[in-house]
Amino acid sequence: MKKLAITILLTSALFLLLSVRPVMAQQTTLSISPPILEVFIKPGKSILVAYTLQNISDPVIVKAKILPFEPAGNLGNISIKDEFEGPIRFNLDNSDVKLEQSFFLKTLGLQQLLLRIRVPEGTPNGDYYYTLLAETEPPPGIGGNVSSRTKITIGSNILITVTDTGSIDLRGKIAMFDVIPRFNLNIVGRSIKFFDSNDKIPVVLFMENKGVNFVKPEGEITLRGNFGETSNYEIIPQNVLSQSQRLLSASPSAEFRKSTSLVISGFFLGKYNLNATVNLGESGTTLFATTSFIALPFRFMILLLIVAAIVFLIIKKTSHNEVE
Amino acid sequence: MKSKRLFITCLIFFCLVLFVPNVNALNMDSSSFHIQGGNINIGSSTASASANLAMTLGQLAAGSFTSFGYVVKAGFQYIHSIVPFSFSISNTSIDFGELISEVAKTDTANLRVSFGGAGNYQVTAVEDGPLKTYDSVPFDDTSCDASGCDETAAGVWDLSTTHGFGYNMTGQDIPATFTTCYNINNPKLCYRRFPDQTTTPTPEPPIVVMSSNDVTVDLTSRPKNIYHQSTITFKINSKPDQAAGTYQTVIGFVATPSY
Repeated sequence: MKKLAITILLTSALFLLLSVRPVMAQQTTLSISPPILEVFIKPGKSILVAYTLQNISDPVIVKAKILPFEPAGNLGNISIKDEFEGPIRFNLDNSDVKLEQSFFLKTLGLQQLLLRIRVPEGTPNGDYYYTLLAETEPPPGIGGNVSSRTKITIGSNILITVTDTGSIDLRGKIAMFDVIPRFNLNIVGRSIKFFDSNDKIPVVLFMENKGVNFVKPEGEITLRGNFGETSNYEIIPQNVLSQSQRLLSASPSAEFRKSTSLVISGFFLGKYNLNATVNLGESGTTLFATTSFIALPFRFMILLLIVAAIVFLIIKKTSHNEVE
Repeated sequence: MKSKRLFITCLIFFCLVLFVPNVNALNMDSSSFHIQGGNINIGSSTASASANLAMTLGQLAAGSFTSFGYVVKAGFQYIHSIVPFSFSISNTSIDFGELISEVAKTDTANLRVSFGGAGNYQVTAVEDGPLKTYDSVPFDDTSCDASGCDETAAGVWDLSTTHGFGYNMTGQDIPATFTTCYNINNPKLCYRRFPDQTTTPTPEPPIVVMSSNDVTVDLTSRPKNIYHQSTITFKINSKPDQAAGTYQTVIGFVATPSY
C-alpha cells in the first residue's frame, strides 16, 4: 500500500511538471480592445466608451494617455504627434485610474478604461483623430552592465467626426487604378500592358479623400475577359482619412511581394478589362475607373521557338550527313 | 490505517492534477456577432442597394444620431467582430554584460503582433537618447561598415573595428532595407541605428520596424487569430578608448492598428 501511494505521488508530480507552462521572464504582452472607434457626434455632447486593457505576461506598471495622430503615407500607417492638441476633451471616469497616471496591472490582469469623450459647444465641424495609448514602464536597469531596456506602448485609434447636422462630406476620387505589368509597350501614345499567361496580375487602387470627413469606400473590382467570363472582387471597406490617400484592398486576393490592392492568379489569354466601382456611402458619389492588359503565353512560345530551332538544326545536320 | 490515508490523499492529488479542466471565459460566436466577456458588442452587416452599415450597440451607447446626438462604431466593419489588438516583446531587458573593446556582443528579442484577420498594423521604435552613463558619457550609435547605415537605411556591419550600437531585424513584416543591404544570402549582417528622440533642435521621429497593410481576411470566413512575428537583434561593439561605466538607454516600441 505504501509503495502504491509513493508511486501515485511520483506520477502526479511528473504530470504536474509536464503540464506546467513555461514562464517567460521579462516578457511584456499587452492587449487592447476595441482596436478602433468611430464616433459621429454633435457639439456639446459627450459619450462614454469602455476599453479593455489586458496584461498577458509579467506584472507591469502602465500609463494611459491620448495623443493626436495623422496619416503617414498611403498604406494606412499613422504618425502620432508628441503633444496633445485639438478641442476634444478626454478623461477616464474610473475612480482609481486617470490619464497620465500610472497604475499596476498584474499578470493576466484586466483593466477596464472608461473613456469619456466630450465635444465642447462651438467645436468646429470636421474630423479629429486620436490614439488611446497604454504605455509600460521599462524594467529597472541592471547595475554594472551595459544594457538597453525596452518599454512597449499599445494603441487604439479614435476617429471623431463632429457634425451638428448629421451630414458628412463625402468627396473623393480614384487617384490611381492600374496593373503592375511584366512589361509595357508604348504604341502611338497608348500604353499597352503585357503579362505572361501564367503570371499573377497585381492591381493597385488608390483612393483620394478630398473631403473634410473620413470615408469608408465600398465597391468591387471586376475582371472581364474575351469570352465574356467575369470575376468580381469585393473592395474591403477601409477608412480613408480626410485629405489623404490610401491603397484600398480587395478580396479574395493572392499574395505578392509588393503592396497591392488585389492579386489575381490563374491562366490568362487575350485582352482583359478591369473595372473599379467605388461607392463613398449612402449620400456620396460613385467613382469609376478602368484599365486593361493583354496576356499571352510568352514563356511557352519562347520554349516552342527554342525547341523548333533545335529540331530544325538537327534535321538540317542529319540531311547534310545523308547527302555526304 | 496511516498508509490508507496516505494512499487516499495521493489519489485525490493525482485526480486533481490530471482531470482539472481549463477555465475559459465566456465566448459566444455566430456568423454575425461575437460576444466577449462583459463588454457586449454586436455587429452585423446589412447590405442594401444604398447602404452597407455596421452598428455597434449595447454598452457603447446605441441610438440614432438625431435622437441622441451621436453614433459610435467599434471595431472593423469588415471583420464583423471585435478582435483585440495585442503586442508583445519577449525580452524587456537587453543585457550585454561587460564589454571588451572591439568584441561585438548581441542580444535578441521577439516582437509579436496579434490582430485577428484585420492585418493592418505598424510597430515603431525610437531610443530615449543614446546609451550613456549616469554622468552622461555617451556610447555612439553605429554607422555600420564604411558609414553605410543610418536611422532609415540598413548597412553591413561585420568588421570588429566598426563600433557603436544598432539593431537588425529578421522575420515577418520587416522593412525591406534589412534584406536588401547585402547581396549574399546573409541578411543577419544588415544593421541600422535607432532614431534618437532627444536630438536637438528637432527630435528624430520613430521609425517603422514592423508593418503590414495586408488585410488577411476572407470575407466569407469566420475571424481567426493571426500572428506576425519578427526577431530584433541588438548589437554593440565598444571602441578601445570608450570610457568605463554603466551605459544604459530605453528603447520604446509603439504598436498601433491601422485606421
